[in-house]
Amino acid sequence: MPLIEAKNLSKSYGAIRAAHAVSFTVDRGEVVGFLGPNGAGKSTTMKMLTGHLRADEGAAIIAGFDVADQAVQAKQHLGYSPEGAPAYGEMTVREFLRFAADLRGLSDPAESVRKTLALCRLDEVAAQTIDTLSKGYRMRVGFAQAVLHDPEVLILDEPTDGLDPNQKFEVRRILKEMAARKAVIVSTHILEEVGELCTRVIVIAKGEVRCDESRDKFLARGPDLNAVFRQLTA
Amino acid sequence: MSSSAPTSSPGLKPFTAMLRREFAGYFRTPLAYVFLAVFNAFAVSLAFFVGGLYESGIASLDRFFLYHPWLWAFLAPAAGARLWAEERRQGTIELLLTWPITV
Repeated sequence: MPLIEAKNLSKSYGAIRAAHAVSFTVDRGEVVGFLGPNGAGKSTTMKMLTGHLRADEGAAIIAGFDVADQAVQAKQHLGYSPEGAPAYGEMTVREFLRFAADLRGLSDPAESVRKTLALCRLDEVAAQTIDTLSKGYRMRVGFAQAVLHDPEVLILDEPTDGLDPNQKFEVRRILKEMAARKAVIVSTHILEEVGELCTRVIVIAKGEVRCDESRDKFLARGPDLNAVFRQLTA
Repeated sequence: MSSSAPTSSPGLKPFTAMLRREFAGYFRTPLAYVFLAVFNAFAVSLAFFVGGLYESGIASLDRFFLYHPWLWAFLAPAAGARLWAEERRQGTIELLLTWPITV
């Protein structure tokens, strides 16, 4: 059974068609790179998968649960970090993670927070309020919130956006560490990340899936990924 | 299933966590005191000046409570609407809507 299943997801905002019949599945152990120009429908598709937006048509299944009909069960198996990693700025990192752990009803919230702080290397800023953190740390807090409950499904919207090369490396390291046990979707518009991080690539443009293939096949399309990308999304 | 499954039913835990956070949030800024002061001023002045508590000559708080529904009709939405607006502004509404809790 695939852990993530998108079945004909469609969404329109008035006359604007943000996503049209988007279908794909993601199995355990896969890290799918979600590529597409800005405004292509990446975030809209992710929001439908995570239950933030209700799809006009189609269904999103997380770990066997429909996110519309069995929302709570589906969301228990899901970790999601929205674009820009929003968080409550007036809380400290530890307070925020503890709050998330309590809201999720985890059996041992204190232990989950401790493990996650260590995993994401957030120990040294745990007592700082999130507003005072640098962008790199803030993105990591968003990431920490998503992996707090060790979910089977991880959906990350531009987790490396605005990070410096060292911080990007760090996020990729953590992702690789846990990728084997999970189904992961990572959206990005940095093509170089595909080779380093992903096992599969889905290209979306104008709300439609333009390409869905393994990383090796995608990389074999040509030496200049930017040209390949332009051609696919034209 | 993996360790992501919570223990049986979370019960009231998410609710109390949310309540604690919002309550503490109010007292982190002077906002809570502003609301308390406004409530106090209006509750008392409505009873005395509009309700005529003294002039009535009756030892009853009826006139005090008479105006409370009206006071709350304005203060409760003012406090609540701000919370939703703040969630939207910070983008954290997206977290709330994708965490396994119900509205």
